[in-house]
Amino acid sequence: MTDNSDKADAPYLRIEHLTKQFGAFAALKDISLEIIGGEFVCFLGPSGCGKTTLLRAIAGLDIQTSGRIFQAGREISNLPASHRDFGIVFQSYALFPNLTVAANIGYGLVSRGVPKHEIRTRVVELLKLVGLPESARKYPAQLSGGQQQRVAVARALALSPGLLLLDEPLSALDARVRAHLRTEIRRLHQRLKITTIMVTHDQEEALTMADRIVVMNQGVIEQVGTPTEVYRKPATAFVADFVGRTNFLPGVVVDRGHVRFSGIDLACELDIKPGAGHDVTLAIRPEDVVVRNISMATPNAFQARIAEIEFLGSFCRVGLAINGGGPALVADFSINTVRDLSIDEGMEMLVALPPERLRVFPRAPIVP
Amino acid sequence: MAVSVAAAPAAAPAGVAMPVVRRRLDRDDLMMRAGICLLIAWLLITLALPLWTLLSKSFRDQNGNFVGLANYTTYFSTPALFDSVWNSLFVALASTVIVLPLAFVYAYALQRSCMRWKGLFQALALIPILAPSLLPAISFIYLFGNQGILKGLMLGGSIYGAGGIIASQVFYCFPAALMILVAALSMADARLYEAADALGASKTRVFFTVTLPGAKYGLMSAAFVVFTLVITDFGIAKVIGGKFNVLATDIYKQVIGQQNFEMGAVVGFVLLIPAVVAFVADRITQRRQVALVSARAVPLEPKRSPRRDWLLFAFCFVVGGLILGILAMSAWASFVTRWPYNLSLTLKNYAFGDFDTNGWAAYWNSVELSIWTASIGTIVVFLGAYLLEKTRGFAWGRGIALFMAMLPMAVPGLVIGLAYIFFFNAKSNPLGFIYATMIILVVNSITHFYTVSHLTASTALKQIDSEFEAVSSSLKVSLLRTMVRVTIPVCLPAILDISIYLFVNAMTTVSAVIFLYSTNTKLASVTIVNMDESGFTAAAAAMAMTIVATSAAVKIAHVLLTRRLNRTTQAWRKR
Repeated sequence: MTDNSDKADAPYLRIEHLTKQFGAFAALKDISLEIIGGEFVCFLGPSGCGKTTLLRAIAGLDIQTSGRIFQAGREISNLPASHRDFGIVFQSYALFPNLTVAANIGYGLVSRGVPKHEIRTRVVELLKLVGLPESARKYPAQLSGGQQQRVAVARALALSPGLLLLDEPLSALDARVRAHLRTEIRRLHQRLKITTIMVTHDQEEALTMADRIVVMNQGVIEQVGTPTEVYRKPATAFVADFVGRTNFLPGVVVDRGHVRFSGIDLACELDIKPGAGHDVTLAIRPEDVVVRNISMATPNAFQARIAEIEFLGSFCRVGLAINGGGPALVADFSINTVRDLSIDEGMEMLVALPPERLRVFPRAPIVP
Repeated sequence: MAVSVAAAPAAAPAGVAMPVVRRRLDRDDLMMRAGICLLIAWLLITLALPLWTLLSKSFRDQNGNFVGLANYTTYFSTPALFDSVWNSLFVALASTVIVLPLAFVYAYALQRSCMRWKGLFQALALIPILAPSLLPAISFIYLFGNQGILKGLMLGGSIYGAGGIIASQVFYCFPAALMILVAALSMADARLYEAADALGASKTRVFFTVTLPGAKYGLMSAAFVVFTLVITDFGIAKVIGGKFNVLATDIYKQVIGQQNFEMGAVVGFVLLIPAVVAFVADRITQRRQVALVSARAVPLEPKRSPRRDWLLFAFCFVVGGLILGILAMSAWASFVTRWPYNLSLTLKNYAFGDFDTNGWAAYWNSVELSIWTASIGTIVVFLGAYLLEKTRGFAWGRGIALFMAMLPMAVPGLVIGLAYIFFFNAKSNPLGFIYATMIILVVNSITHFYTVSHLTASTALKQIDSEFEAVSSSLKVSLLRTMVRVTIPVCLPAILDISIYLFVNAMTTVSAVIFLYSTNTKLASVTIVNMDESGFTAAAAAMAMTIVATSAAVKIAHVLLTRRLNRTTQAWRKR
């Protein structure tokens, strides 16, 4: 196991000003990104955002229109896939159906002229690694989806590549298997410390697995950050909306530090340009709305009416109405809170929006 | 906090156009591109250049001087020639109109009913594929000809002419239309029928609002295919056409009878027009058909309905019986001593040496041609389809090759044959040595049947995971190795299908080879034409039956082999 922490300032993979045109359509617009050795990075975004295009450019399967890529200090911008150093797992797994599991995993080793007994040892070792020690003689069609996926991972690791690329590796599986394999892949990564990039459209997958998440939308990077950063401090309204649930509230800037929403002046960290009088959008996650241990003295506390309650098992989603209007924002209260405060439809109560949880974005149409 | 996009520091000022990156080619890329160039060269030599020579020939006089449209003017102002255009269109349209409803009901019975003996009826309907087109014509002569056993039914009319041609074409084209319609009717969404039922629609209304629209594209495609088959077929009109001239026989008469190659070229191009129109229309239709039934469709299971099932059974019994009867007529005639005076059975009609100088040698030539065509053709076609499917980039090269691969479907066999005479017989052609050899027959047959084989191969290749090549380059394995280890084994059933298709067609074709055989390479199908011309109809029937027996034997071997293959590979094909 190699420790990459000492090389942290020299990124393992560097992408500079990458663009990809499909005719008039720009799939990638001036993408620049650095990935540190040993990191697990997720490219997260809706379909068509360019995440798979970026992955395939890194692999050399579909070359970028312009821009440069460096891997381990070597420029690989124009190298064909066969001259790059990576292993890849596709959504379809692309296992060779007529070869046994062992032959699939050893496929690349045979061509390298590795002696037979060494291949056998390596295959056994890899099968043990992915938890399928008994399946060497089976054919892919005789395995379940999750097992096939592990074989594909083992095959991708067989040549000990410096970079592991996973293209939506879990989306063909049902929910239970997916959750299980999420942990398996994460554990495998922690054991091998191989630099890994995974493409996904599933925010839960990205949040649970990644060291860092690259959120993409319409060919640009919206934000790069740890799961906590991306969730707690979304850089743009798109990220706030795509990752998790967010209330978007229309506001007007009062002064540096205050935004007026629905007749209430809310204190918040204002780090965008527009001065007083400008329209902005406030964002707060439903679970960040506070109801316990607050008083009128608490910052951003105001009176709200419980307009509706939706029971969701472990918590309740509550629609809050302000100043006699309809539901203006949504708050998630734990079942304990609901029980302790006897929250019920129609009741008036004090709620607070903690200033450090409020995000302010330029007013832009929110695309749901 | 600052809106931090943790991206690399900008090294170049934004907005400056960066140089376009061109991928360096690896060994696989170079091999694939070289392969495509070879494929283009092959298709140029075997198809495009001969056709070009044919075209230019039609603008020249017999001394090779350029005369512009003079030959075409002569053609269109000579009623004896021009009438054939109408004759050809007439028999093609009439045959299409008769075949379509027959094939549709037959296909409907096979796909949408619960009648018994479906497998038997399916097999019966495919018999005509195994026979040369000459066979039904010979059978109809024995049935309704001057000495036919059922001549009385003709009420004084003659089978020689349009009637005989149309009847024979219906037999000959039936399987082609049936296969397309069976495929069209196999795709159905049961939910549509349940919805129609729930809304209280009558059975007739469901048929006209759900079933028929669902098979619309299949019907159109079948119509185009039958039309093309009829208008380009030579053998039937030659044997039973009598004085009724069609385009295909005109070419033959101009070239073989009058040695007027230039006029032959003109007729060839006139024949090319309806074939190309039908071909293009068919391609457009097929493109529209895609995704008519969604992937989420629930397959339709036919329900029992005794009255309908028995009616359809009766229909199939009659049609299948007719097909079998027409085959049986030739079979019987081939064993009859002297029709119609001495009906005792004999084998002397199979002593082909007594009727044609080549005798049985012609049959063995046909077998040799079929084996070569099947083996070399399958390799060329599959490799070609592989290159076209799997090459990355090189769009213009692939485009040219793909266009040429689709072209043979639209070119009648006679036209290709004639084009080969002009191209390979030219003194300046360094490939002239293949003229009048087995090689030219093999090349010609591969070219003539290229498109259908290519489509079979590329369909099979499209069905396998498109990322195999990406995986193998990430594992640093050459494409060649992946092709041998994975692609070919997975496509083996399709490869077998192609080789059988090529074998049977090379065995039965007349039109593609009639201009190209020499005394040493005369073929069984050509011998049938010659023996029929000389009045040895029984021997012609015997030769036709020999071809049917050979095709059938090969076809049965194919079925058994495929079954065995499925058994030995089921470990990885099935769960």
